[in-house]
Amino acid sequence: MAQQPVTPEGPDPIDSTDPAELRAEILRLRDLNIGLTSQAEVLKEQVADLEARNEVLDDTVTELNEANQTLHVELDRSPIIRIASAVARRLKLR
Amino acid sequence: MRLLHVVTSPADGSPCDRSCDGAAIYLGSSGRLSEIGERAILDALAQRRDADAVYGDIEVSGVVERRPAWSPTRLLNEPGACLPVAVRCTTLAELGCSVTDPGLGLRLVEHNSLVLHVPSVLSRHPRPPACADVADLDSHLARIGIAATAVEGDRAGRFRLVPDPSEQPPVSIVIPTAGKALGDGIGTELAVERCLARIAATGRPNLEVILLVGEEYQGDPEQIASAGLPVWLERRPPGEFNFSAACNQGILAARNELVLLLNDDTEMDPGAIDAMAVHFGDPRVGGVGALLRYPDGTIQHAGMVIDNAHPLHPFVGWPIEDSQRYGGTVARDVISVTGACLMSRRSLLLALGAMSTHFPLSFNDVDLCLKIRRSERRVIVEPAATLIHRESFSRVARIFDWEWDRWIDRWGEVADPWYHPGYRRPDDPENFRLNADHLEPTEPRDHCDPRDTAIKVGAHRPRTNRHLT
Repeated sequence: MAQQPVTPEGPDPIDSTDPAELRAEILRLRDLNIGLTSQAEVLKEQVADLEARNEVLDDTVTELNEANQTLHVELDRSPIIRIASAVARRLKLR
Repeated sequence: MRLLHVVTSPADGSPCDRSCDGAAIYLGSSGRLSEIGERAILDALAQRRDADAVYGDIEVSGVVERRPAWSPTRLLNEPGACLPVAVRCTTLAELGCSVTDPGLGLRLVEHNSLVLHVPSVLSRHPRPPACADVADLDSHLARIGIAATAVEGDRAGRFRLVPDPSEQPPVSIVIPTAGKALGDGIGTELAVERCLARIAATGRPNLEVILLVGEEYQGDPEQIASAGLPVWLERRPPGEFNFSAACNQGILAARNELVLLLNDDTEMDPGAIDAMAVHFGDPRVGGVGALLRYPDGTIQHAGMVIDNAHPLHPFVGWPIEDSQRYGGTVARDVISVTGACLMSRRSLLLALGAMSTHFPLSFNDVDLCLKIRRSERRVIVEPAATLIHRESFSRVARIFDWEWDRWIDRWGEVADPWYHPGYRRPDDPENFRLNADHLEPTEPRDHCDPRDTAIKVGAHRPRTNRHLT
């Protein structure tokens, strides 16, 4: 009699010579197949959800970047910064 | 689509010919479309070019009648439940009948039509629209292969089926048991023995019982066998009690095409098996459940709904007559029935991997029903089939976190087409019974998205209480 392969979890029931065990395993695999198909659909929607949220976050980051740049420009123009820059330049010259 | 023919008299039953791209609806002489009726119907048919017809909720004498999505089985008991229905003129030509035909819903069932439901009031009527009568129903039953006749039901416009007594197909009853005593103070009778005695007492021929027992079982099924009910003992799979694995072993051992999965803590009423089996004359039916009562007579199960991913039993603890006005007493399509009493075809169960051993105790029934639904077969509940169920007396009624996680991983959030969006949604995680008393209507809102009956799964978005109002 051929020896059955043994996995780290023990003998694989699909190799069983016991008809009852084999038939139960076939049912389990059919169920697993349907379950995985459904799970893939659920995951697909979760991915789409996350992508949509990612897009929204991307837009927000872009907006914040633009606001930051505008703020920098405005800051450079403000009198206090101009005075501070002038003071720094003069200090360097000394 | 731009054209909706509103027919008000039977004399105007054929408003156009096959070439018309429009649809027709029969409102009778006193019915009127609501403010949104025409727009909603035309939009629905324009959105779904594959749909043949569309119907909505109605208002009768000022009372709103909320309706579930398309249910061919409900029409057997309540043929007016989809009337008035707007049907494409091309479909009417194919059906060869008039839009004024009171049996129009039944014709759409026979034609395998795709019929949409808009969960909003589309028309108003002083009295319910005229619907098919007993003769119409009888010829419909013969055409779809159900060996039964229709008789008047519990209220006007409702009917019930009486199965043909000469047609009693063989049924295998699969009962997994852990061999618990009833514990109701009446001696030490085992639950499964009372269950078997009640099956034997129905006197129904063409039955076999496959009893899945463990080492602890001390009963004597020979006694039942001598009473004319063949009982085969099978040893349950070793290890901890796994309801699904035990059922599967019984399904594999069954010798009949119709298999009834039954809990050992049930007591069957006469006629229940035939009331369920008769529906399998229709090849599109894949699963049939029953109405289960607590020992005090109130409802334990009358079909399930899924709301925000939670499978719930509506009407729990209600007197049966209170569920009548919500359609609880009519046979109808549902998203799932309980595995405590579920009839199906052996061939279909085997093709679908039967009960999932991934769900050893909870969710295995809903999982199976969703698999049946997604195999293009229908799942229905037949309240004419009644049983007593001492629900979960033999185990703790509790859902473990790992069970919930597996459930959400596999099915995510399933939209239940037969659960009307216009009902209140309580969502108390500690109180599933409260959650199930979900049938109080919310303030009228316009839900105009048309619904079909396809089962769609998607990401679960847990609801927080602030979203409930």
